[in-house]
Amino acid sequence: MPAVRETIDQVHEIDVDKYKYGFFTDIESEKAPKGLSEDIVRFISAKKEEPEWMLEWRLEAYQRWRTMREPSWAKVAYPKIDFEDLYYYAAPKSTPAPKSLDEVDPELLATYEKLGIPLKEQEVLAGVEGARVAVDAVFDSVSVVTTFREELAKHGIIFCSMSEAVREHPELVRKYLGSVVPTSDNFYATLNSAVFSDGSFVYIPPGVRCPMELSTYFRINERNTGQFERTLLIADKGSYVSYLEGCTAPMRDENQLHAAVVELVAHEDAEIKYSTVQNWYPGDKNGVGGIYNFVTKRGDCRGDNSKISWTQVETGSAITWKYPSCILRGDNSRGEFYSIAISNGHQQVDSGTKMIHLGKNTSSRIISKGIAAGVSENTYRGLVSAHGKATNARNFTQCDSLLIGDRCGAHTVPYIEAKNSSTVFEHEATTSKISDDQMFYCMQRGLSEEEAVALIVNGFVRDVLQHLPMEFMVESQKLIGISLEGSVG
Amino acid sequence: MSVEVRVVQTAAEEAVPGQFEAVAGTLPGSPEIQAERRAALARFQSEGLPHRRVEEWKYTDLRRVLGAMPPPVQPTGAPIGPETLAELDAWKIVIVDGAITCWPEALADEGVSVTRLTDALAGADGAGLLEGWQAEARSSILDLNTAFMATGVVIAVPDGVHLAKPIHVATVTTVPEAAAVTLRHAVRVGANASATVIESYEGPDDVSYLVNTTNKVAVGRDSTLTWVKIQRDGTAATHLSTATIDVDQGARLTCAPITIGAALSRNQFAIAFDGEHADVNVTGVQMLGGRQHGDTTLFVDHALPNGASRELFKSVLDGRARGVFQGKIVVRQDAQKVDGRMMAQSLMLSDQAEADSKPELEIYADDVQCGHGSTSGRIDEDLLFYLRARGIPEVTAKALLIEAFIGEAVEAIGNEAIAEALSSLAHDWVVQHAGGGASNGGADA
Repeated sequence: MPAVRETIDQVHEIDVDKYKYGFFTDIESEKAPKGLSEDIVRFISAKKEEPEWMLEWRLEAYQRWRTMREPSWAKVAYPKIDFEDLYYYAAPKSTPAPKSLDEVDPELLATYEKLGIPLKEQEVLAGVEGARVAVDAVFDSVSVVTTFREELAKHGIIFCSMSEAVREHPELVRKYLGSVVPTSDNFYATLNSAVFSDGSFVYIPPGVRCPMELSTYFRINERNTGQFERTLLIADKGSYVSYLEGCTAPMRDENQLHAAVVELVAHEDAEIKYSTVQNWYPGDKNGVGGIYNFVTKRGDCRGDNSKISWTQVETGSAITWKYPSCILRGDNSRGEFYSIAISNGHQQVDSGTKMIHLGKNTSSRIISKGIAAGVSENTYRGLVSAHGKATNARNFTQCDSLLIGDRCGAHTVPYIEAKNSSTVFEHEATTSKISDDQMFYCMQRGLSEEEAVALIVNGFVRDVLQHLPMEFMVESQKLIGISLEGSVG
Repeated sequence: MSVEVRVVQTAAEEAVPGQFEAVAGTLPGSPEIQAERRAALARFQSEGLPHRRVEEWKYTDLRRVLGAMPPPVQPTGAPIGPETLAELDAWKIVIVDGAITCWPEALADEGVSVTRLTDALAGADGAGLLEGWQAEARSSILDLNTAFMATGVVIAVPDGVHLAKPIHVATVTTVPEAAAVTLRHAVRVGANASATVIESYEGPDDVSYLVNTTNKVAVGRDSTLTWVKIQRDGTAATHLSTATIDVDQGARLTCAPITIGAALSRNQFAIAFDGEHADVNVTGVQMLGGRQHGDTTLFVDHALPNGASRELFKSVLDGRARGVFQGKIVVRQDAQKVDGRMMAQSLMLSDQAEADSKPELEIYADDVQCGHGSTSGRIDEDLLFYLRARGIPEVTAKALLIEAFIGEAVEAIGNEAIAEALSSLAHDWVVQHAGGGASNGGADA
């Protein structure tokens, strides 16, 4: 919350030019040939100077992946992906970076403007030559990270990149990596295990309440984590952490396929709050291009009285395939899932959650708001299950869908499995459109049609928005309006 | 043809072709029908029994559960009346072990035509029984039925006919050892007509017989059909049922599947709206105990505007029973102003019971009101306390609460005589099970 504001201020205070040299690595020139083989996996591992056990772990995943088939159960349609036609390590830039903002797609700039992104930052986001260095200096500089590190280190918190963690904290990585999402989990998670490029590693020691909101935004070299991101977050006994991922600014990326894995471990009495805002390139008006976002996110409430809460705002990507889940293993543990999924144009979203109740007296809550516009497809797919020994499991699920226009689809596919009589599961779902009365009321008061839609939709998703950290919430409100542009009239 | 090669066939799957050849000569129907039977058999052989990898059969893995495929029944034709709804004043058709033993000749006087399946298949519209099945009703179980269908009733209520008494098609099984009864019925209600059709199933406990029954139902313009299906097969039996139902403009359909019997049962309904302003009410009840597995899968397809559908589904589960409810409402792009509501509720009386529910919505039209709800839990302690505080013994109090829970669905059927008969069936079941539930509830604390 205020911590982030503070951080940004701190960063701005630092004289940027001082850090012009010495930390900008030219990663773009390092690239592996297209296709995937054992050699590529070895190459990636060698580039990252990984120990032998890590390489073996990757190779095992690779062998397994070779035997697996792409899942086809999700309600999304896309041309078959040729996995041999992809770069698996630091994809090279195929076009030279634009020299100034004049060369950048005006549509993209217009969006930045609406989001209220400062000019300098716009240059960075658009990848203008030269701008990068400055912003690397602002956000990715060694010294800034050091400032953070010092603050975090005071509390014993480890927050670094995954590759660094593999080198410096191998005992923690070995203990936890793959313990929530095993290498055999699913097609994309297995692929990720074999070739993951980088990601974040967070460890909160027992009893520590993390003093600031952690965000990928402030981690070094964040821009190059690539398409196979791997995040591992461990909250030890009695600790608390809030983690932000992504950003509201539209992201253009040349890698069409993104298959990230996020693993959360909450020990006894620990609490993890994980918020995501995803606004990757959704493709153009005709549905050409756009990111395929196939993500595996899972949290393990391993200890008693632990709590994991997922909040997500999904507005980007051509295809989203994402089910942040909670395994409620510890007694009295709690899982939460708050989601806003907006699809417009030709986007296809198949997202939801899994709440797996294993411990006694566990509870979970799911609030999902899907908004479909244009010719998009928006599916909620969720599982709530209580095992035989999970006595007094409790779940409340509410999934509401809003349709804007008569050419889109909104679907709800819940699986509810109660395996003992003491469980109390409640599920409700509704599908409706914005009522003419609501529109009339808003427009009569001078709002344009688009403003009225944005206002009503923001009201519709309020239950979820309020679970986002403050500044994310404000940005997300604007983002919702922008995502739905062109859906009316 | 690209057929997926199945490495291992289960014993049940392997037995089917031999069983078919053994009876092929005796199965009714014209040469075209016989060809259809062979085609269906070929489809069954390539697909095999439905298994959990088939999404619609996720919770009912027939491949694993159906250990053996009983041979087709040898009709004995013993003149036995049904126990189910024996007192009900109705036009009765009784099928004992696959042979029709009671036939309501006088129905013709009411203007209603009833035909035996054997006659229908030999006639010109025999092929009509095989055509027009909705995709969601198709499965290898339907193919198996097409291959072996031997007995059934085709009921046609002409335009403008209002049938005062219900038609009761009772299927009674008496076989001493495992056998398969394959039935195919059809019900057609013309325009501006009304009828009530009851299907009931019963048989001996401890005999692992199989009933595979299908029904093709059509409700004509502005007509009303109440269709009740009471399944009380024996505790070792397998009951597989498939129905495809078309509802025309302005028609009203009440459909009530009641599941009490069978070790393993699957009720699959596909309901399609063929006209606007039609109204569909589905009220299901499932009462299971022991190790029973009951699955009701419902598919409602709103293809046209201004339709309304209400689904209310209640399960009471005792012992190690597993109740499955899968319901899907599809609203297609043109189907504006549709009102769809689905509710599935499970009441669990024992700690080992399992309730699986999958209520789906697939919506493509924007001006609609659709919703679904699903709940599962045990008897509300507060309600129980309220009753006990008023001097009602625990077992009686529980029975009262269970009956009230089911009552909501039974009353929605809207026919007093049937509701009364069903209530008494429910009461018998509850008396048998509420006691067990009480001891379990105590053990839990």
